[in-house]
Amino acid sequence: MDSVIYRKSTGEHLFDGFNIALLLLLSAVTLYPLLYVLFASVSNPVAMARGGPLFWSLKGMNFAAYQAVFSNAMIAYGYRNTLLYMTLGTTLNVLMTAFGGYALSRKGLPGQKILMLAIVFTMQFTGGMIPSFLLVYNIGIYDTIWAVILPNAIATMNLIIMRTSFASVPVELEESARLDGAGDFTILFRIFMPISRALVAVIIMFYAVGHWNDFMTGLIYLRNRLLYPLQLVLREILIQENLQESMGGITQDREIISANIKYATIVVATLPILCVYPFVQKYFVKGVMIGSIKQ
Amino acid sequence: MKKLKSPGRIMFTTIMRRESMKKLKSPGRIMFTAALLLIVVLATSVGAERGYPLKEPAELKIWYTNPSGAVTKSLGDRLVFQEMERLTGIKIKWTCPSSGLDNEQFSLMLAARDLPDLMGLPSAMGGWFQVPGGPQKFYRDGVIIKLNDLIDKYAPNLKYLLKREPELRKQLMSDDGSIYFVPQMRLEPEIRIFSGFMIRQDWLDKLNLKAPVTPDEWYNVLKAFKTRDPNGNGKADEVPFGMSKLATPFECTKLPWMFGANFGQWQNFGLQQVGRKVVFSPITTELKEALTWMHKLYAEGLLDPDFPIMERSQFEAKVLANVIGSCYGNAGSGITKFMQGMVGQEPKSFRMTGIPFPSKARKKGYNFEPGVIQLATANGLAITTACKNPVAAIKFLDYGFSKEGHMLFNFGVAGKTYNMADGYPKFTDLIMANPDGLSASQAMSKYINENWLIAQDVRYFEQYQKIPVKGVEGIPAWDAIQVWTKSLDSSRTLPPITLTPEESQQTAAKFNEINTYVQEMYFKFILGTVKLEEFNNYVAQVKRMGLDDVVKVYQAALDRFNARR
Amino acid sequence: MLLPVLLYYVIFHYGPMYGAIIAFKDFSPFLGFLKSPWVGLKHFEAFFHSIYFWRLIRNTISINLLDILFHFPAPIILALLLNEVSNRFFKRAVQTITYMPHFISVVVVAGLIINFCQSNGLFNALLGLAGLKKQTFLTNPWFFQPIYVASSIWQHIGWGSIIYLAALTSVDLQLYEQATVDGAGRFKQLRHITLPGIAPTIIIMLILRCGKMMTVGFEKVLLLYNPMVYERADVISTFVYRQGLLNQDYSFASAVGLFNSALNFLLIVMVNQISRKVSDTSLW
Repeated sequence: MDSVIYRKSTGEHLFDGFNIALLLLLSAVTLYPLLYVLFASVSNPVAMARGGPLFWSLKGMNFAAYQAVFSNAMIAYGYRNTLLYMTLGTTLNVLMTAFGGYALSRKGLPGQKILMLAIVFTMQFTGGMIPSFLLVYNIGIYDTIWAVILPNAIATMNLIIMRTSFASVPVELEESARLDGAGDFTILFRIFMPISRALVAVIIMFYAVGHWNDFMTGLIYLRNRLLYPLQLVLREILIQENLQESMGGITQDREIISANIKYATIVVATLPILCVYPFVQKYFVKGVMIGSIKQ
Repeated sequence: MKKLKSPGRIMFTTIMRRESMKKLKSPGRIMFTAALLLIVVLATSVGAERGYPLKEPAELKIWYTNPSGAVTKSLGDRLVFQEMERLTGIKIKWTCPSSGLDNEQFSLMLAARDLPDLMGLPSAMGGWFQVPGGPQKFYRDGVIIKLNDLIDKYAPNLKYLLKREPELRKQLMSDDGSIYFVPQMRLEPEIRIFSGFMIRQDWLDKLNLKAPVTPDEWYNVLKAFKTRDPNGNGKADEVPFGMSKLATPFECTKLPWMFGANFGQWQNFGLQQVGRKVVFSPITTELKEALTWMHKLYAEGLLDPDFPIMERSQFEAKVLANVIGSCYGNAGSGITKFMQGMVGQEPKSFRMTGIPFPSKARKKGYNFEPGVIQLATANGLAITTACKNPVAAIKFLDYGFSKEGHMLFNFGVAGKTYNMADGYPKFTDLIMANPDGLSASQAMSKYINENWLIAQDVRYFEQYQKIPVKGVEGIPAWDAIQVWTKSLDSSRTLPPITLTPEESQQTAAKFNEINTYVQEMYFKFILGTVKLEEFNNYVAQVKRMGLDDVVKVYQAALDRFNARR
Repeated sequence: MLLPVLLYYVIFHYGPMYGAIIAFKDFSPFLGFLKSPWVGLKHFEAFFHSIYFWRLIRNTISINLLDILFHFPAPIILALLLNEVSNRFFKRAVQTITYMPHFISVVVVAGLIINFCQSNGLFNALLGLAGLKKQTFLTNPWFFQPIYVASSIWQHIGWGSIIYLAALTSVDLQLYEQATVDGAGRFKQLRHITLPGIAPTIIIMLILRCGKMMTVGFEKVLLLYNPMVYERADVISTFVYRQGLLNQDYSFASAVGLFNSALNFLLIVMVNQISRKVSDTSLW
């Protein structure tokens, strides 16, 4: 909207005002529970329980929960592993998804309907945990990094999104590229991906976040604790704290931070990934890319 | 001769063959033989009675959900198991997934046919008694083996205990007399009580009231809590009897006990026994009485209006907010936790004490917790079909019940974790006032094995419950347990019966539907959404849903249980 | 290029698919797939004959319909509103804040909801301010589904809008410029440029969403419900869960799952057909 200067009508000003107010409300409503979690991770749960405005419970703030979480030897492994799975996994994911999305969007592809049907079929029907486990076990990747990355190499939803996006790229671009002698891979990487830059960024983020949040694959396919991703480590910490609590364990100050730990694990698990979004946001600038392609 | 191990035999025959022996005349030879025999027998039988360390060291793989919290990653890290390996000559390779992650891993382990030598069950299956189909199902599928012969031949301590305690034997064996697992045992009554009713003693004192026993007394006390403002803040915000929602520790299903009725989601699903007959309590007149009474309480504001949705943490918060007058809960994670949470807070007079189980007829009050009558708990290890050395396995299991093993597992290492004081094993400061800042229960999980594979000792339990809490006077948890133990009547609690896999599958669907309906109606009656005049219609509906078939199945199971010898 | 993709699906998805067979057996993990006894349609029949069968289906579907009606459009609207904001900083701030709840675990979210719904909780306090009567939110069956859907909207609206924001960037800027020159106002531009521009994305997302009609995740319902609201809250997955407590039956759960999957797949095929006739966009 920046390139043309014109006057906004009163109606549009009203709309803008209304819009901003609405968005502010939404942000406030969303922010409260987030603050709650943050505060709950450092406050005395008794104080929190007694009610009253959120900020009062900050009295006697303590970071013991964070200490407890980070002093756990497994946390370092958890972070390292998750980062590894995330980078390796996302790269594989995006490549595979791009291949699939591109190939399946080409109109001339024989059996395209059947293939898509077959792929969407897998979204609904699955053999279940045990057969998947047996498969991984029997092909020898059990308890390795590949077990975490390969079984979920493609998220069908992302594949479909990418395919739809590629299908709507103007045909002329592809034709002119072929005339210039470009092959499929060149077209994919030099033309299609850049055009759909925003979408690719989003898909990268979806996959990355998927890896970050994933504990299920680790749970089923890993046995070696040292390979555990962060979520699994945090889950263990959380469960063990709850267990200690419910066993009627007569504890001392440890009891207090038990509740904190629940929230601290959430913060530890979530904060890093929140920092990812700003990097992706810069791709959400309208139309910058489209213009450059029109050459 | 068979008693002698091979070296002994070789030694004997070698000696007998020596030339010098041949010179002795027959009587001399016989006497010499006898003496030698005696010596050898004595030497080996002293070892055989103790049996440890094993002549041939063994290695066993064990799969067992890690019972402790963050302190030890695996049972093998505990001091006592390391000691045990030394004393018994049995090395253990532990696989201890943490609870919550164990269910999937258990199924996968079975699917991969990668069985350990000894295994327990994952937490979600509830234990060997509650697992649908019982241990028989695992035996039939070829996962575990029967233990009767092994116990008979190689586990003298277990054998002795089973002989001495007929109730234990009855609970442990399955209907056909087979024993499939070795449980943790709780032989003394106090060890089996963890929870009961509790009340704000300071409120009772303030209002000059006595602890209630009958429903009428309860009503009067609760009414007083509501109307006479014991928390002194000028508002009638007291919740005289607090409860939390289904499937939480303080759940709202205990008040009917005082009428002899029981209702529950997890435990026994509302089944009880009267005489030797199985009764489904939710459709009895006793429960109708209870519901009528509870509805009255609810209508007069004596119960928390939010109790159907109240979560555990919110409930605890209300206790600490000085609002809850009484409730049903645990000694440790209830009474002690509350007392501790209130240290240094207002009111300083806060005191939660355990009171006797209530009863309509002023006798002992009914208690339907299944754990109260279980001498054999549902936790334990079974020996799998993959075990190549079942003798070593059973000896490992038996060790915990030997004198030495009992002391080791319950109390740890003499001089390090406990000291004998006048014949009473007293925990040292390593446990009770741990220098690394661990709480007592955490220290216990690091050093000893107070909970698993053994018969729990009262003296351990006593000290555990008597652990002084910083800032709290006296030992409210232990006192509560004493009060509860003396006042309970568990004659109506269903013993640990097992359904066959077929029975289990047959009744599951119908029972699930019945329970769904019964649960809905329980709350609706109490809250008044449905009037109590409708009770008979409700009973008719339950019957229409096939209740009688379900009860028949459970009756058959109870009959089989009672026929066990 | 297509080869690795196809290989992946064949190996990792079609490979294990034989596991669905346990719906027709009495499965025991140790016995395995071959040795577990065959029981045919026994589990399906058990499910269909349940007294609560229709109630469960009704609740599952009605929650999903409500969700599609309200939850589905919400992120789209948010994306469009954000699109109209000219201040880049404000836009980014709102985006970042609104997508954070997506990462909070459902356990915490449920705890917060229960907290707010208590008789002296936040919602009743607000009602009181407005002079309205106090409500018992979570024990009243009629409130359950709205609360369930509303909390989903709150939790996922930000994250859900991301995909639409991305789609918005691909709408040709020049079209807007021409429209402005032609004298079209913002709303006309919205109707004739923006919406058609992101229509393919919306349609695809809608088709995929329809493919989940029989599925309501059991964790959130389990945390929020109680017997008072079973009438409208008990869904297929929670009922099967409670039955699992009585009799650990992989097979029963699998049979129910298979039934759900079949219906879901049928639905997605139908909706895709309709979409193909009505618009240019479809899954295949």
